[in-house]
Amino acid sequence: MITEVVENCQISSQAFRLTLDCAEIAAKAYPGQFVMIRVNQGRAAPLLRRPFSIHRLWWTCGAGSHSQGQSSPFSQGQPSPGYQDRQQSSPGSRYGQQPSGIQILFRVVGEGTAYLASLAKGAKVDLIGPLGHGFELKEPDYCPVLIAGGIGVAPLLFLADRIKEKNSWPAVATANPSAAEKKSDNPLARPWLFLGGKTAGDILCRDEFQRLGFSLAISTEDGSLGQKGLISEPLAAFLEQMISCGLKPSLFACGPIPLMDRVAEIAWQYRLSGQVSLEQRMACGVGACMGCVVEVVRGKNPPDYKRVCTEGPVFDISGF
Amino acid sequence: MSVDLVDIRVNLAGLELKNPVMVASGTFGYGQEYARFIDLNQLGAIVVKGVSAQPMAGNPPPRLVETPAGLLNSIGLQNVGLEVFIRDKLPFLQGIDSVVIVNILGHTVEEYVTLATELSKHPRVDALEINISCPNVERGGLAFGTDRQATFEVVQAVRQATHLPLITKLSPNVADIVPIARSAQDAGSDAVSLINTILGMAIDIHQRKPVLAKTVGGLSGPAIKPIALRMVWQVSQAVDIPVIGMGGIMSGDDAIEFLLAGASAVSIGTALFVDPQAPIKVLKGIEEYMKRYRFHSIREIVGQLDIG
Ligand SMILES: Cc1cc2nc3c(=O)[nH]c(=O)nc-3n(C[C@H](O)[C@H](O)[C@H](O)COP(=O)(O)OP(=O)(O)OC[C@H]3O[C@@H](n4cnc5c(N)ncnc54)[C@H](O)[C@@H]3O)c2cc1C
Ligand SMILES: Cc1cc2nc3c(=O)[nH]c(=O)nc-3n(C[C@H](O)[C@H](O)[C@H](O)COP(=O)(O)O)c2cc1C
Ligand code: FES
Repeated sequence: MITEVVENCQISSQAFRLTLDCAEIAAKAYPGQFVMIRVNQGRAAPLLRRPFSIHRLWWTCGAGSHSQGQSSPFSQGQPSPGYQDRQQSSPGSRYGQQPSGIQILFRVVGEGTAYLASLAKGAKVDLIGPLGHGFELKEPDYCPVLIAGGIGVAPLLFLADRIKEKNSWPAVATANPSAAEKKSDNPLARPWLFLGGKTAGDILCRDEFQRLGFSLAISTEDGSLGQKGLISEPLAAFLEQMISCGLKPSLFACGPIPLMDRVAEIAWQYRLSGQVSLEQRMACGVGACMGCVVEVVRGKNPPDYKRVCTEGPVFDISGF
Repeated sequence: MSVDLVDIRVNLAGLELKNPVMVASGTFGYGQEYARFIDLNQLGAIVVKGVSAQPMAGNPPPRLVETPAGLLNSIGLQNVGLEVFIRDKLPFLQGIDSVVIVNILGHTVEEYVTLATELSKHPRVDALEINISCPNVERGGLAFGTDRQATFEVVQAVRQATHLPLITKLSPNVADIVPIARSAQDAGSDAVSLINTILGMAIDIHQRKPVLAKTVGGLSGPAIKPIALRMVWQVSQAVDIPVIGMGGIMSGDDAIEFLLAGASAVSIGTALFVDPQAPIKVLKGIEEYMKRYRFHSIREIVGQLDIG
């Protein structure tokens, strides 16, 4: 379907946040799903559509029964400079009101993403979606721990909005209600985001998560922001602490494969539930070409290949 | 007849197609995958993903890479296998009134025969397309479609196993495609379709490794159109059975080129990935061309290439 650019904002040296007017797709979308965007203006190059996670839903202020500036759980916070014109629109979540569009958060890595970066307000964008199997929020008694590597943070903000909407924290293990009460203001029981990247410029969306009430742990490989090293290191120690307090963490991760591998290992080690969002090169995006497979459960014979575009991109961590 | 009325129906190998635009095997799944994005009833025919006697896991990833104006794939024919196809995939197509063609693949002649025999029992299967680009394990893994004799044997065996219209899908990875097309015709094929993907590769110069896990893959998309067109033209000159043309068709104009070169119908593959509505747009383009040049039926265009 053809949609229109509402806004295209550069948020770091390489990252952009693109807001698209597409109520139909937004109404059906849930966290972890993606869209396929045409990046060739009808020419042969680049040929294939590019997949992007739905970063967030977007609302037009004043739409429906809500007046302009109607507060949402999100918009109570301080707007970050140069981000959104709050008089016109707001991303995040709004109870009982239909969203008007979606946002995607992308990093310029090649021709297709460079084209998206060049789009101005009013430009037409051809996208299909929402596609794929997203995150599931089923257990009521868990503490959500989100883990993102680099641009992998993109789908997690939409997830964070949903978690906030469900208002499912502070959450504690139900087995022992009195202990639960004691821990209700334990900072460990807040929802957490572990955010890692190579360098400070890769660390995106901090303010947005903080406004939603998330606590943040940040690390960069070069030490330019937060702790120096990989984000999986503080994660393991933190989870151990949570578990020892009787909390039940559930992991939601998106990022490069080595990080996802490490998160799966940690989940296995501590017997935690969780979901990981994976990437693979795609052609159709709808399950028809069998091109985007990953071996989710490794080492089976014959190998068990699953399509990232339909069985994923979000997979249960237990199999991974 | 008014010049505005164009007859887009095509009668091909005993099949009544509503129009000459089909979708190519392996690019349209089993039909259901695209049902959200395109009205399947508007397609001339649906050719489903290649089905083998047993399920196939396919090749390790990465399986895809985009190359200039093309797509290189090494899917490795991953499919659910005959049993699951009949049980879980075919029923969906029951509600569709377009022609359904099942693409079959095997590693031995016997496997092709099993597939043809079983699929012929199902009324929803209107025709079979034999993918002869598969490695023939009885002949050291060389593709059936690279050898006249092997092509003849497999087509003949399938011919004897089925009453259904038979299309042989030709491989372009041969020195001369014409004798292979003739073998298919001689063995009783009712039509030929071409081209399948062209072998190619891509290299990641930073890692000094092939991009695809299997090193080589099949190229499709606009990059292969001139080659496909040349082969369709050569084959249609050499055989009496209808030719289904494909390879890089993105627009109505592309499709017209194939019809002029001698194709009686066309198939849309890679273009679906760019635009799921591509088959419908191609059909519109064909109709516009017909009106513009006052063609009343598709038949009037087929093979009308003027080579002076
Ligand atoms: C389900 C899914 C969700 C995604 N969500 C986001 C998102 O929210 N934000 C975002 O910025 N990106 C996301 N991506 C990645 C995004 O699709 C690619 O960055 C984009 O396609 C690159 O297009 P391009 O034309 O700019 O680069 P290209 O020129 O196509 O590629 C640039 C470089 O990246 C490599 N590359 C491209 N795609 C992949 C891939 N899938 N796996 C490995 N290497 C690759 C190429 O080989 C090349 O070296 C997602 C991918 C998937 C599969
Ligand atoms: C991802 C993919 C999978 C394919 N799978 C099959 C297949 O299973 N059987 C077959 O006969 N052809 C298969 N093909 C070949 C196509 O049917 C078609 O012949 C080829 O792609 C050329 O057309 P196009 O350029 O329009 O895509 C496949 C092509 C692609 C791109
Ligand atoms: S991209 Fe075609 S099956 Fe996933």
